Amino acid sequence: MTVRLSVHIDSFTYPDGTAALSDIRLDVARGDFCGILGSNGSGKTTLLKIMDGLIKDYAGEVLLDGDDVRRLHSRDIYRKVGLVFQNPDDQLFAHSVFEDVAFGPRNMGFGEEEVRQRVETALQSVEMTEYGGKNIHNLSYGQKKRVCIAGLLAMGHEILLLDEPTAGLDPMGEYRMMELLTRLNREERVTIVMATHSVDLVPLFLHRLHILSGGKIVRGGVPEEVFSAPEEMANVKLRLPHIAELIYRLKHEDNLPFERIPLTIGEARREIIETMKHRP
Amino acid sequence: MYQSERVLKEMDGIRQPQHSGFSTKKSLWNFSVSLCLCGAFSLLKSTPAHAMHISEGILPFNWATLWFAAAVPFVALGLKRLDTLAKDDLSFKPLVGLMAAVVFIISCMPIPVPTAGTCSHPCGTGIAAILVGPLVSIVIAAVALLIQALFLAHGGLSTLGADIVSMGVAGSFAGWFTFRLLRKLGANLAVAGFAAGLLADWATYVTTSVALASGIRGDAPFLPLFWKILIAFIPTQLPMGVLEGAMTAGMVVLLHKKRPDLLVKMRVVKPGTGNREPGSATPIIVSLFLIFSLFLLTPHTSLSSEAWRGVDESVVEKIAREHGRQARKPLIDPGEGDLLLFAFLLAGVVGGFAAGYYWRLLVSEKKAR
Amino acid sequence: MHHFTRHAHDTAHPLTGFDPRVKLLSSLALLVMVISCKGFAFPLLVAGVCGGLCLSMGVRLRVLAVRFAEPLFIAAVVLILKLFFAGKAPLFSLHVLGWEMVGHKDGLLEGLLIASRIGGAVSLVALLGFSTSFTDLMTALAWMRVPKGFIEVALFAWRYLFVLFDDAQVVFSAQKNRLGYVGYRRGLRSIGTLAGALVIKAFDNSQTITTAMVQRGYDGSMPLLKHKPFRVAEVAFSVVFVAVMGIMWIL
Repeated sequence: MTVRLSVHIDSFTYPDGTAALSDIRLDVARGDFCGILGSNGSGKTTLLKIMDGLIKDYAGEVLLDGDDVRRLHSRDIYRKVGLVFQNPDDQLFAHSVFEDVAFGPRNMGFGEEEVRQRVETALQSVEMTEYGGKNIHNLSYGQKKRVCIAGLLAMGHEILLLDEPTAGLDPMGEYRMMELLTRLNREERVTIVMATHSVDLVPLFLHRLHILSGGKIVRGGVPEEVFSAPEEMANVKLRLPHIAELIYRLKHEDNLPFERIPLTIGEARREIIETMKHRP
Repeated sequence: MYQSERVLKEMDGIRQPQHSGFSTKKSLWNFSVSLCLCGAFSLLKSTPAHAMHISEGILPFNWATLWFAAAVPFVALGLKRLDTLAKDDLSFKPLVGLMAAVVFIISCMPIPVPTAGTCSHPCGTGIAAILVGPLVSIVIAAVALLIQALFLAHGGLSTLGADIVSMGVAGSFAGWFTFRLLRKLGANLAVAGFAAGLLADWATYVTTSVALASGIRGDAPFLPLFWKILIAFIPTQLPMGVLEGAMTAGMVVLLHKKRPDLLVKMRVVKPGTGNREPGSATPIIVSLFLIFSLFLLTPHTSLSSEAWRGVDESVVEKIAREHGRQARKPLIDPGEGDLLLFAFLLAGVVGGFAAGYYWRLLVSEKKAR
Repeated sequence: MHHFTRHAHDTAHPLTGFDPRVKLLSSLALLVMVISCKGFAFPLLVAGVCGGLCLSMGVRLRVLAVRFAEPLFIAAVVLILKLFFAGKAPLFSLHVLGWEMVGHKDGLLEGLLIASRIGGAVSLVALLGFSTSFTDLMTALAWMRVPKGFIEVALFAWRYLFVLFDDAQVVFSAQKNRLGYVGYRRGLRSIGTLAGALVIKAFDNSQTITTAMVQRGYDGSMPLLKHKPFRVAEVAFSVVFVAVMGIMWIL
């Protein structure tokens, strides 16, 4: 397991004096699909910006494949890492989908044929092939987010940082976005780090979670491990997924003999059937 | 936030009739304000606003060309300045683009003018000039005007030159000058912003009248027609100027309250200084009042004397002395031909520009020290 | 706001697919002819041709009427100004509120000439606007050596026009829902706040856009769009069309 991005932040304070982050230790391995889970204002976006090399005045170091991002030329960072902002309108500046996705490859100096090919592949990856000629303003919110991702994929990014990729999407849109990210992670070997606060969705897809609260990482590990302590989750203004909450209460308050706390509907279903079978 | 935005957008259609029903119960003014704004934001074009842009096709070929010739150097200088600033700050070009969008949106708000019974619209160049400086503001005006000409038929391609000179050059420099001058004299942000917006609007209005009068006069003498156009637009443009002033003041004050860092970044205020700087505001208000009254009196005195050709030279010169370059344009001998008229205009514009340019250098040098 | 892009005009119409450079150049040539002609037949001819083409592209009559509303209003003002205040040969006189208004024949003719020019020029530019996307026009302008800075700023403006307009709409609705526009004075204040809010958004958006662009290799200038080569048939057609109009103009 190769570590691609290794974050060690001792402290970071905003120019106005607000302490934002402290004592962050975080490693992102090749092919990882990990989440930074935290409530609003916990410092998720700031952390992502630091990982992307956008914020530089912190104490500590962020290593990208072993090199300090603050010493790297921005061109070298952005060949590997890309950040997708929460609001797609902040980052789509061209008029047509094609032109926007082509912006990165063109800046990298590829010829027009290569650019076209890269754009097509990228749009294919995010399932937006038929929208190439569309005007960006006429796309839906979710489609705009997909175009943002395609814009980075077209540059051949290996690490994607996403800020709240599912915020503002309807339930189906959330699900499809996560599916897309999973596919990118599995099939195209993209390493993904996403900041989110949607606890119901993440355990379905993410490999690893880091819980950020008050600028500190308070817990980390696989979802089952992280979600095993409901009280702690409430302390950081988060909660268990609804289904886990239900089973937890049934187990602890109604003394039903559940062995473990499932995090997804599928697991819960299996767990309930198992328990029912063993009941006299 | 985004979801609510979508919902609001969808509600827009439903809200409209309810709203006008609600307004009729209120006074006529409320009704017209809200209705026109409502119209502005739902359709953008439902009310035929009569703009202080010169419509497509009004200017004959030679005049259109001459105005283009006058506008091009300013736009070129603006672009040069833009490139210089963009080298230091990569976000400057996007910012200027977005400011152009803001100016476009502001100048698409038809606002009812009660005294004239019609809608007119603000220019927004005063705001742009205060924030990004007069030269870049010309580029902003040019972009906004180009989009309006192409897609809204406000102004026009053939009259783009004249519109850039009036809204871009005259508006920007008047607004910027007024703002900086009053700030130097110690006025607070609101007063300076108000005066800047007001004078930017009026300078645009006077210059447009010049362009319009010279363009459509045919064989008729220039000055009488100029006065007539000026007077014809007084009912809309005087209140409009006040409104633009209020809007500019509101904008500056809001920025100062919410995002003082932006004003500092754009060098509108010095870091650490408050809204009200030491020094009394009275002389400024007095001088402002003087400028106002001159603006108001000019057409009236000439109207009452009814001597169109013999407009009192001393009055005109006084105006020219009082408020500089923009007002020099009326200083044109009615008996002369187009060429001389234009030579005067050009001289006025270039002279004013030179003054403006070096003034800026002077100020920034002082800042550097 | 979406009426810019929602004209629903026929994208398959031959004029839409025309090379924007050809369209722009021939429009400019015709525009020069319209504003420099001495009679009103030619501008009216141009207005007829362009208006007809607009309609054939599927632009609805209502949209076209709205487009003409303002210029025609100005044309009417000019006509009245000319009729009553210019010219020497009296045509008729009116008594309004004790004022004697004399209409002049030559003034009327001059006014009509200007009005017809307005009609011709506006319909010409309307046709250009309806048949060409803004991006295409900017590409054409770049080809005509208009400085790149201008083009870039215009493209940014065009893209974020819609975003900012949506924002303005939200702010406006929020203000109106809380009675921000009841009363003239409060209305003025609300408008100032609206303008300020827009400026703040412009600043913040420009920051994030820049970050997003720097991430994707922006170094101060946008890569501009490439042109397709000129098509001989289009160029030939335009030359012939402009020449025919030129002959009409001379006549």
